[in-house]
Amino acid sequence: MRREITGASACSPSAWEFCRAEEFWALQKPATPYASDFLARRETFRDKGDIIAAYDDTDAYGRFALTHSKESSRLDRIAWHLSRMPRLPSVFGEDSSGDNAAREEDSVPYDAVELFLFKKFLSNYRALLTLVDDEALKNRFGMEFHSEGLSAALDSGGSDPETFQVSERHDPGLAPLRARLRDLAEETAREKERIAEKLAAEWGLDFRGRDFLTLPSDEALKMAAACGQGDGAKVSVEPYDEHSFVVRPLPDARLLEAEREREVLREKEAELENRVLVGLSRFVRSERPNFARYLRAVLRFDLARTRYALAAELGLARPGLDSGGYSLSKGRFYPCEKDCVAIGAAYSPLDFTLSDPVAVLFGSNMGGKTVVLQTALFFQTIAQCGLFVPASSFATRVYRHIEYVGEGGGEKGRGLSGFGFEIRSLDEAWKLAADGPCMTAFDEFARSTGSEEAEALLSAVIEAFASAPGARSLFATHFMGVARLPRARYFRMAGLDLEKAHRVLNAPEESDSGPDDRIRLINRMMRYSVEEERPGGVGRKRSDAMEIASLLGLDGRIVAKAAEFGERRADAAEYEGKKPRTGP
Amino acid sequence: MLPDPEFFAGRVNLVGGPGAACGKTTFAKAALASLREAGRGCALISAGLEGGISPLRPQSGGAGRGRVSLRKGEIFVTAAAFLRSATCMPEILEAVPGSSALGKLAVARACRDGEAALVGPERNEWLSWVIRRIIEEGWTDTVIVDGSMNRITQAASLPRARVFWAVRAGRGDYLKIAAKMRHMLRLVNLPEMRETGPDMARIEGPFTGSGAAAVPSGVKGVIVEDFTKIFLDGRELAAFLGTRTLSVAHCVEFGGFSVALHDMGRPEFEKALGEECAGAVVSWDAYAAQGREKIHA
Repeated sequence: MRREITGASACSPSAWEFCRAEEFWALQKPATPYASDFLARRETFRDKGDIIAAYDDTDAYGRFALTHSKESSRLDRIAWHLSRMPRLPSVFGEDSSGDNAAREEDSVPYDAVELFLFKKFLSNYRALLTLVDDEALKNRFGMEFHSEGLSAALDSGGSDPETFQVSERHDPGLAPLRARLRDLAEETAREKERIAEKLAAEWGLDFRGRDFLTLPSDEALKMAAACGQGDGAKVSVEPYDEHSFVVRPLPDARLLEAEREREVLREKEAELENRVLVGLSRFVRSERPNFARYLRAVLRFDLARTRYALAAELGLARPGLDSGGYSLSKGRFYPCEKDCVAIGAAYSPLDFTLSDPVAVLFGSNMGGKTVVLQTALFFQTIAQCGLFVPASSFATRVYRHIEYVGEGGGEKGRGLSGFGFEIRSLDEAWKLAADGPCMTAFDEFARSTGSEEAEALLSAVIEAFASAPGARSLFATHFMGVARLPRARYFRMAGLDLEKAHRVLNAPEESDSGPDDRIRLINRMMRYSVEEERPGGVGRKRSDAMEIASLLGLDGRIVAKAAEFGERRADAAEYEGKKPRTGP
Repeated sequence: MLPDPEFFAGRVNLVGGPGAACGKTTFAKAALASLREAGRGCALISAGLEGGISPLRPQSGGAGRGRVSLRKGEIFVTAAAFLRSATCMPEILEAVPGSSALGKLAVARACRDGEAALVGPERNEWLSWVIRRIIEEGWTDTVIVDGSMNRITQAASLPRARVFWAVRAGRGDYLKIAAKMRHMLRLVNLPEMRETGPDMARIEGPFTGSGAAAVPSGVKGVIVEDFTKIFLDGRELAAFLGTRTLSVAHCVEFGGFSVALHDMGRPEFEKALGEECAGAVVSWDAYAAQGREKIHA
């Protein structure tokens, strides 16, 4: 069964931006303006059927491409014909579905340029159909052709399949008119040549290619005096400047008569041409339902070709959408991988599995927990766009909303304080979670308030989202004292390999290295894998912040004092019974 | 004298000038006449509207001013609205993306001698797109573009493109025009430098007198995008070049000057230009009645 591409976008702009989906999106290279327009909408599907259809289309095109892999010229020609398909006049309204009613200007005939566009489209569409020799594939994409009559009519004008003009074959009445116009043009050219030769013989002037000449005054005045005497050529003479005159050959009676006749014939020709344009326009409009079908087929075929090309180039895998959880194996977060390549750092693909509705991720500074959130959202977004993903496997479900709550999520310009903005974003995300299955990434939520209140607020939010039907939420936070709740899993980034970091950064050869070099070295020693917290335990109470500050070269006295304050605070919390809860 | 056709054949010829009625169109037509006489086909493009056509009165493209004579086989760009009144039996070869004040534009071929109104793309990138299409499709290898300098510099980066500069000078303004030409020659001869080095600054956008004054003292040289971005007058440019270097990231090949004189003789103007600048004139009075001028490129 054919599916049409429908639905509004599931991914919010802030989530799109946060997970850097655009950088992957931009790798798609559609050939037609129709696929370009579609991709410009950056649609993330909500309907599982739409996504499956996109995957199936990609696979179907992939099988076709593999079948013809030894015949690359066929695939190149397909791409070439697609790239030559023009954007048709907006006869089908804003979208390319072609289902809407006739345009208001139906009574206005298309001009020659518009008819040229229809002809060029049909010519390339027919060529495409010839190259796609797989009937099942054609059937899948709805690639049919029922416009032989219109094609023949448009093909009657123009010197090749991609040019257009109103020709004698469109209206036989044009033939005698144009023949006479040709004769008149030749007569006129001969007559002008005769006049030019006469002027050259009489006055030594070369008018070829020029309508007028500037002559020194004495010569020009001599010509003016002689003009009209005998059977000499006639010229008009008028002053140009103080030294010269402009001299123009004047047409004789034969030329004027020929010009008059040309004008009359030209008017008749224009009338006939206009009649042809009206007739062809009517023909095109009668084919509106067919054009709608062709455009849908072209759009769908080009999208499949584009998606397959990306999948083949990057070795992408088809996601599974039937999972109750979220399971990513060897996921390569393309934008981050690209960054790593640029700075010569190693990139670690991510393995991440979550069966519960909520994941809370702790980790040190620079430990990559935000990147894990981005990765999780990236894969979900890309998969719901109908694209294959850069992973060895990815299983998930379809969400109605993909959201992001955190810094940079469109807060600029809203005139809200940091905390006000956080609460407002939370409220919006909570409403969306009530609207349908929602996947939300919370990056450092409640960062703008004190740690105790933040932990309390965060715990309540985790509990709320853990019980929202169909919701999957990921939290990255520094606050390790949040409540450990049912239906939530707690992870931490593996973080810095401390032993290795001390060995490398405290080595004599690094004693002079500055902060930037040390940051680079630390980045290279970060382990970007995700480890689940021990069941029933709170894991390490602190992140690696003190260690990293020390390795970055911060004064040892400050680091030691900070550690001391940290210990005192932990002891006091324990004494007052405020230590983190370890279960419900 | 008509210029030598070999000077234009197989090239993208961009004709600019210092404002309206400076002789751009006259020179473009002279180049066209010269090519025709040599039996060479070409494409004619106006960057914007050909003189005489108004977006407020598009019917003015139907007759009279603003129309050019075309020979069979010549390529041109026009507005769809003017096709009906074109008498050269145009065959549509391509539709130009976007639209102009006069509606959508098309590249067309004249299928018989006749006339048509020239209407060019309004955006620089579309002008380049059109020229590229004409060359790539092999419709012709010679293009003449009649337009203002700021409209054609993007197209000047196309392969085998070069810029001509048309001026009209008379007794009342010839010294000023000569100074403008010398200034222009200096600008087009600025060295090309793509990479900024130490003590060099890259200026994006216009480089004006106040911009030049604001260049930090440690900067020994400035690179601007191309010569059309330089808005220094002759004195400012000389002062700047006295203490620093000025380079362009993209050199534009300069074809030479076309000069139309009014009320004065060539020797007097040549003297005002100086030897170097006079040597860069490729066409003197294209419509004077003294035959052909050989150009030594």
